[in-house]
Amino acid sequence: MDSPYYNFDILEDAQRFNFDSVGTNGIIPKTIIYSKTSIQDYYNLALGDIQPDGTIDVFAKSNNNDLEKILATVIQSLLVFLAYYPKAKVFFTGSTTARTRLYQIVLSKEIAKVVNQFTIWGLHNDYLEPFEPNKTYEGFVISKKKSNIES
Amino acid sequence: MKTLEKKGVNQNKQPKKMGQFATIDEFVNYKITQANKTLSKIKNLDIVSG
Repeated sequence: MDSPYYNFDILEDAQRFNFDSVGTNGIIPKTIIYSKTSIQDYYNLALGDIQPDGTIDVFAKSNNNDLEKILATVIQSLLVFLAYYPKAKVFFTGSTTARTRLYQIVLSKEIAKVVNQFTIWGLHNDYLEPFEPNKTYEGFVISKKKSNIES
Repeated sequence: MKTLEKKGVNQNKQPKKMGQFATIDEFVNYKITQANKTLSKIKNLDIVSG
């Protein structure tokens, strides 16, 4: 969790986080949104680019050469979100198969750093299973581990 | 041109690209719908304790 990340604004009861990606293509405002789903305690994590006209683009390729910093920022937002909502289970998947794969690569790299705080599940053929770094998944669920003090 | 105006077609409105949303709410609703579809298919959601 010591990877560099962007400072972000915490909005809407910590269900939305805004930050600026700063890279080779300039400053690109981004938003991370945690939304309740139809299943109790399950939230969806979404990341999008805020375009100059105010629209949101989930497929935008900003090519700002700061992907790792962006994803480290998402992980930091997750820490804050789960501090506010400790029972929440956060589901996320990439907007494309390639992005889901990219998230998996980053999770694989980061898992050792977060394994004490989060439980990470991978979605494979309609079943959740403990995340394994070298396996391909269609989506992910992250929840906060219960500490001994809480239980 | 007149025909289009009569029919109420807004010619200044740019068509949206796939994956582009006019508002945050539109974006969120789309993502929730997608998530609900996927989550409803998962057969062992109860494995995750919160």
